[in-house]
Amino acid sequence: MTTPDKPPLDRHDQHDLDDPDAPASEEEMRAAEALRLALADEPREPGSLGRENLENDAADLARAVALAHQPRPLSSEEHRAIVARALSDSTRTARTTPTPRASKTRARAAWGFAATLSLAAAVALAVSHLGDERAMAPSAVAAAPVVVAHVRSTQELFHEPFQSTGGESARIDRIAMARASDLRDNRFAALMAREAREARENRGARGAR
Amino acid sequence: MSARRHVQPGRFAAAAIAFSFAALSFACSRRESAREQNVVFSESAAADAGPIVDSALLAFLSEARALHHEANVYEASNDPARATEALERLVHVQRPHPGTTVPEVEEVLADTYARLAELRLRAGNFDGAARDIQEGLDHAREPTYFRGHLFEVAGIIEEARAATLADAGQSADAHRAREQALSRLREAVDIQNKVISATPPSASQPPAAAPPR
Repeated sequence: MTTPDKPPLDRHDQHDLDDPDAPASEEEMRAAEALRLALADEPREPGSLGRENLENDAADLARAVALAHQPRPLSSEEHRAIVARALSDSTRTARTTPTPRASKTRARAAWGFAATLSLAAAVALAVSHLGDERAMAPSAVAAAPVVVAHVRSTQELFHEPFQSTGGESARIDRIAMARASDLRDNRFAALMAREAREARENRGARGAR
Repeated sequence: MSARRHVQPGRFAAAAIAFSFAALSFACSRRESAREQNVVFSESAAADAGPIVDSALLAFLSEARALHHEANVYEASNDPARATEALERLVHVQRPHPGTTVPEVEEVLADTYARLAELRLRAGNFDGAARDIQEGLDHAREPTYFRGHLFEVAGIIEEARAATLADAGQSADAHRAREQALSRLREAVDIQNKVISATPPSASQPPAAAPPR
């Protein structure tokens, strides 16, 4: 819908616009008459915007405003047309939507796929665990370095004979720092051992229950 | 009837997933058990190898370090007497794990006696220095740099004693002291050679420099 086109203004019209009390021009009179006739022309199909009535943009605007304020009931023909359009749309959608039976089949296939995947993962895990267990067999563990640091000679910290005099203070610095590092490692190992022991005890208690 | 004969796909899937979870938990529990075995082994191995490095040892080393640095301060202040006092306190402090030989403690004490001997030597106390060397050797019985260093200092002490005796005109005593010095210094060289031969080449060599890019 568009706003009614206004006729071009000539010099006389311009004079009338300047004077609101000026009498209506001949053009305005014709437009007013056309609007009156269009509004008086009742729509042949109630509810429509009057497209089948006399063509008048101003009348269309007035009807649209009126319908927005107080809609008219749908005519039976228009209702049937809307229902028919909706049904044709749903038929088109139904062609692309799977039936309940097809949906069930797909769900079964998805479950089957998930189950097969789970079984495959379990088998792969068991096989890889078997390899890990062999690697951590007692013989392999015995060959692993002991994580606990014991007291031992500090000779390993020095790679050349000491200087003739002096240097004792620097040597004790090195020894103290090296053993401080060992102590940190030992504390970590003790923590790990305690956690392992507690886990064993908890599992034993669960087994006893 | 036929519905009973055929396994329903939903039930099969649920059973398969349940089996997978069971296998997963079983594998995890076995893995944790293997890890525990590893830790248990480490603990039993620790029991066979003597005391572990603990906070008692670190406390002793910390005290030794502090007293050596205290001696540094006094030496820098030209006060060798008080430096000697600090080190004498160290050789009398309480030691960790009484009744057990702790190599770190023994080696620190041996090195401390070597420093005490140097300080007494500078004060002209040859006999006191020689006593320190003997005390130090009691703490370093194995051929190590510490024992070699003690023999080296002992040789220097006898060398200084020989020079002093020679200056005093006691040529016979000076000659004996010189012989003692040579004997001690040769012993030092022998010990150091033994230590160097026993040290793996990788441990005695400094880390190789990175090749230029």
